[in-house]
Amino acid sequence: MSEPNPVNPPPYDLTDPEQRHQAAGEYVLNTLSEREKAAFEALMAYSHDLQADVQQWREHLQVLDSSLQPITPPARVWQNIEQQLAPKRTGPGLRFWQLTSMVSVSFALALTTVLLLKQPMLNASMADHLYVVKSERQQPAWLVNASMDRTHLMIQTLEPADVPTGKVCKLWLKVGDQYALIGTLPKSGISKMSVPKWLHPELLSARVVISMEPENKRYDPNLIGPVVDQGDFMAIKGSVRRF
Amino acid sequence: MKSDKPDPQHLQTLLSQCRQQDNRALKKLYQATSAHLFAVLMRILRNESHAEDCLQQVYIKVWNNAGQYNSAIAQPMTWLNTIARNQALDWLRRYKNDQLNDSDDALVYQPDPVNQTDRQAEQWQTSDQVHHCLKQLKDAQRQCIELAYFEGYSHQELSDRLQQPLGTVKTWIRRGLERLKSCLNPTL
Repeated sequence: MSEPNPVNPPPYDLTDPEQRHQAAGEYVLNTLSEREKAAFEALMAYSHDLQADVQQWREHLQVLDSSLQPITPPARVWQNIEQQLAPKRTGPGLRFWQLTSMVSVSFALALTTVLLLKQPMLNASMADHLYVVKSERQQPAWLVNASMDRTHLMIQTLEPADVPTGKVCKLWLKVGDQYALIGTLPKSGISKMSVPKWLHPELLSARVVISMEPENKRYDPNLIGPVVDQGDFMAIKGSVRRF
Repeated sequence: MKSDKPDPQHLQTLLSQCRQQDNRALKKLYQATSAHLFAVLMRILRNESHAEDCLQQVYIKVWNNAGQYNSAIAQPMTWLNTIARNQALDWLRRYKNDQLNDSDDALVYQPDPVNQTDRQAEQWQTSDQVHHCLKQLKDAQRQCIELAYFEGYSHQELSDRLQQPLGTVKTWIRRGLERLKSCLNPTL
């Protein structure tokens, strides 16, 4: 071990370019104190140079990752990922049949009848209908997924459309002449939005309408802003999406 | 095993296809990068089962957030490694909290003895430059940086673990970072 240096260095002076750069390294390393981190992030929020510094340090410190010997993960990891992204609809009775070959024919017939008549399991974490919101450039911007139990929508951001400052995109559902405001399309990530109860049975026949609205405008279905995209849900054929 | 570095251009294309929800692209991305990310997760978590769970979550995140990747800002491998590292460190933090809240936790995380990092370093397969630059660091500097980077240690935790004054640990990290940077990027 090297000789210790008992002097405790002072906190970084973020007004000094050299120390700022050094602090960026420790930010990536995650060793800044809570206070230093807060001050650093406040500065980084509007400093493109500092953002670039952080990225540069990420590239530098990646030397530690790239020095590791690759380890092939077991095949089951990919299988789990595949399953999680697009769960297969296997016949619910198949495994049952394989495991219980001793079951009587009459019981099996009864069970089969039940399974055939049973509706697909409704699951709030799965979606079977989808609407793709397109940006001005006609690029997919958001995915609006209708949950199988029709109680909510999962909005997945792909590449959010360019929206003028102070404006947001609102998602509405329209049935007949009636509009229901569902929520604001997110700037990133996934958002879960509730569907009003009266719309549950008619969700799939509802028209998806996207309007551009001032950020803090109050809800008024009679004063809907300019419609930038609209269309109908379509079925996701052959599979469901899980969230 | 030879440490083949995935082609950044190819990875960028795959990420852009993932953004369009092309699941074949995700599979190709997984084939090209999973062994690298799994190594990072194994290094941080040191438990195969937990690393597998994290790896799964990493690719789900990649799939859901591919639209946020910006090739002008980061190399694809850096972006992927950052997601993997954050996922694993979050896992470790949650796990440490669980341990604090539940002393009967079945999972027992045993930090390595002080010299474990050196032993692991010996197992590394490094490119010439990486090997050279890591060698430029003093043992204590390298150990601090590795523990902070791979195991999320704070200054105080490093000080406690290495039984060195806080100021000493901070100085090792600062000097280590300076040295690493100047070695990797000598023109600066």
